[in-house]
Amino acid sequence: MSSERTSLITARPPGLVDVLDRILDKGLVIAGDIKVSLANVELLTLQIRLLVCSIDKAEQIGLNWWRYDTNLTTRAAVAEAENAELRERVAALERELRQLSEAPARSESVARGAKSRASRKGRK
Amino acid sequence: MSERKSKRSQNQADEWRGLYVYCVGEREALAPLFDAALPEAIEDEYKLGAVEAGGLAAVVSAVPLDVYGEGALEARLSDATWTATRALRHERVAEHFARRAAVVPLRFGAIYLRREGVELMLGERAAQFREVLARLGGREEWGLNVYVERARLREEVTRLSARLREMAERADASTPGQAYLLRKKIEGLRDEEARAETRRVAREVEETLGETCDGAVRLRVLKDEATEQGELAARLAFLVSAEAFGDFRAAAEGLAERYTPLGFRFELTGPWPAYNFAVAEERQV
Repeated sequence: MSSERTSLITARPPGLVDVLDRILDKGLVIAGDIKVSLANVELLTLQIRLLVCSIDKAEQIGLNWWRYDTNLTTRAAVAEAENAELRERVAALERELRQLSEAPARSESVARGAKSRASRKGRK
Repeated sequence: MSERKSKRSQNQADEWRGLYVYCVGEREALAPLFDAALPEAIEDEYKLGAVEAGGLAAVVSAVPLDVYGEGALEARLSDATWTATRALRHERVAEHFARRAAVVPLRFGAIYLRREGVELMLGERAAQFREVLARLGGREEWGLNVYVERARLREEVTRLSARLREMAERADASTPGQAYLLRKKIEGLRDEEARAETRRVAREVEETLGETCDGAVRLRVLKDEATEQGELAARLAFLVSAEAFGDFRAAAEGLAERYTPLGFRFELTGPWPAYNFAVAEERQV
């Protein structure tokens, strides 16, 4: 499969800003019986962005449904499974490497393990 | 309409409900969709339902007017958490129906006091709804966000521009004083070229992808919209037919391949209910 090519585009479930921009600012405007002024949508969106600027925070207040609800999430789940598998294989290789390099190199290989864990985290 | 406000006493607040409208579609297409499991309504203690008139149907749910009534709603909207939650519920409902039928998604906040009000609205706007529904049938809205890593783009611009390269070489060969002035000038030109390149790429993306679509819209970019992806350079929305999605996606991949090395990143979101293509001929505000 052309996994290398598709990786150039991030396909992800919509973030809060994308949702808010559409719900509050787009869509057909119908003036019902209640007058609602959404005059300052930009300000409102900014406030909300500040509040839920991270996925973690969004999860805390229960705004994380999109993670479970779109076909993009399925793709993300597949990628996540692949990541997990790769992480396991890297860990296995690191274990082998450590065994091969024996006692003298131990402290170094521990340091390297920590480093690669950190860089993996950064990539996520 | 003739109902007097004084009839509603304060302890009847519970009874005093309005109807919140999410989206509108053909009655025949929407009716079967209510049999499946439905998402949460904007106020989760009420259920989603339909108001039908003249072959059209509006997806609605009840809302308590002590919260959604005039004045009260404005106060709630200033609470960011409250608004975010309701906006997401609105989106989820519109999405549920848009995935399965053509619908015109409404903007947040269409609230009626009575069922007849919704029926009347469906009747009055029937022609407009039908026109938009015909245009949206078999199509989806896709979003494309273009991010740019400014520092990387500046570097690439310097590398690619013969003029900037030549200036840099001259600076290297100059006296310290002259070199300083030249480098200042290079910095300014580099920023300018990076900005021009960003605008050009955004335009090219819009035009190239627009060719595979039935509609392209450029959305507002909020100031300082920096994320872990980089700075947001453009936010675009496209109306793509099911058959053309492969071409659209391939064209987007092609652009990503060309511009990723310059520091651009492309992010695809969707499919969305067609919020950006929900308006018929004249846009009313």
